[in-house]
Amino acid sequence: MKAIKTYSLAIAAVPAVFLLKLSVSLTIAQTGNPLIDYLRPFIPFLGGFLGFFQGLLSPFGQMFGEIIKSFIDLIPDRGPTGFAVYFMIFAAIFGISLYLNVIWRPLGYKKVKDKKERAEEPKKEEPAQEREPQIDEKPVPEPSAKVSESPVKVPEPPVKVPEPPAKKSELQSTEEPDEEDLPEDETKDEETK
Amino acid sequence: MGAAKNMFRGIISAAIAVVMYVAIPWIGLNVVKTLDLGAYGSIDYARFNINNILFFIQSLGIIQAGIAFAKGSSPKYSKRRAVFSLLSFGGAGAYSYIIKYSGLSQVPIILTGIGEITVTFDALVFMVFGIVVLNSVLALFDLFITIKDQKNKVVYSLDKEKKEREMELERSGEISRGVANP
Repeated sequence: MKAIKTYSLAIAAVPAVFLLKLSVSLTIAQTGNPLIDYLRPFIPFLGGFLGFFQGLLSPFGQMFGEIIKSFIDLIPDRGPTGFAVYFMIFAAIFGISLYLNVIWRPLGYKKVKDKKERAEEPKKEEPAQEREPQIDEKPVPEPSAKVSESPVKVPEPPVKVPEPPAKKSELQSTEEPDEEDLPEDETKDEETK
Repeated sequence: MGAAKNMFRGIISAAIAVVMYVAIPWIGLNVVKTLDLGAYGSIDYARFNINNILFFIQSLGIIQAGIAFAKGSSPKYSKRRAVFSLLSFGGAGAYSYIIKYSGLSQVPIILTGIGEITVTFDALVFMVFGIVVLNSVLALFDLFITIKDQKNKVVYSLDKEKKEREMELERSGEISRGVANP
């Protein structure tokens, strides 16, 4: 349903926007600059957008200008002292901030909410640990027990004893007897025959 | 750890302020100063008072950098951060105002054979003032909220907590010593 709506909207809107853009660009004279020619149809909209903000902010600015005028008169002009006054003000601000943020109280503040959450976290973990035995109420039988109960006897897998790293030749020699057994089996078969 | 972190943040803020308030306007105005309009015209630098503007850009930019350091190095949720934030917006207002009345808002351009035109940026400067005012109002609200939060104990001081912990440790140490040596 949504797809149909967006599709129909696209059918209605896209050509309209395209035609509007085309008509606007045709009515405006071309400058020759590709960027300006491309932006030109949008300039009135952009101008209106900026003009709205300008109308909104300018009264505040004029009000502020009148308030700050008396303060501005206190700022010293470029006299014989030059930048000295300004550097002194900078040093004073820098020194105060160093004292406040490095020596006096450098660690700052944290929200009490975060502290409470941090305190609650270990409490949540504790009950979770207590529940663990409850979950394991049904003792899971060991695989060896299962094997003993089963009617069909399954040969136990050979226990692998960790051997010291042996040479390849030795390993091959251990495998050889299995291969030598084959002729014995063949003789047995012959006997049965 | 906290002090070093504060210092680092403050230095970064100061560096950003230096770029914003000193470097970019300085480079921009120097480009304007050396601008060659050719045979078509010239900028009347005597009335434009460009050297005075450059002086104020440097001097007020330095102060803005100091305030930015103070603001950047202040910890979160602290009153001093809000105060320095308010001060920085005040400084930004003074910066733009003094540059405006030094002559930057009206740039006289002499066109040869045609006459003189003056490009005015008054509307733009008032817009900048408006932005500064709105930001200052926000900073003021921030200050009120910070004071209220500290009063209602929504936030707690880590420095105070550390001091209290140290006091407790000292007390417990004294008690243990008292038990050991009655």
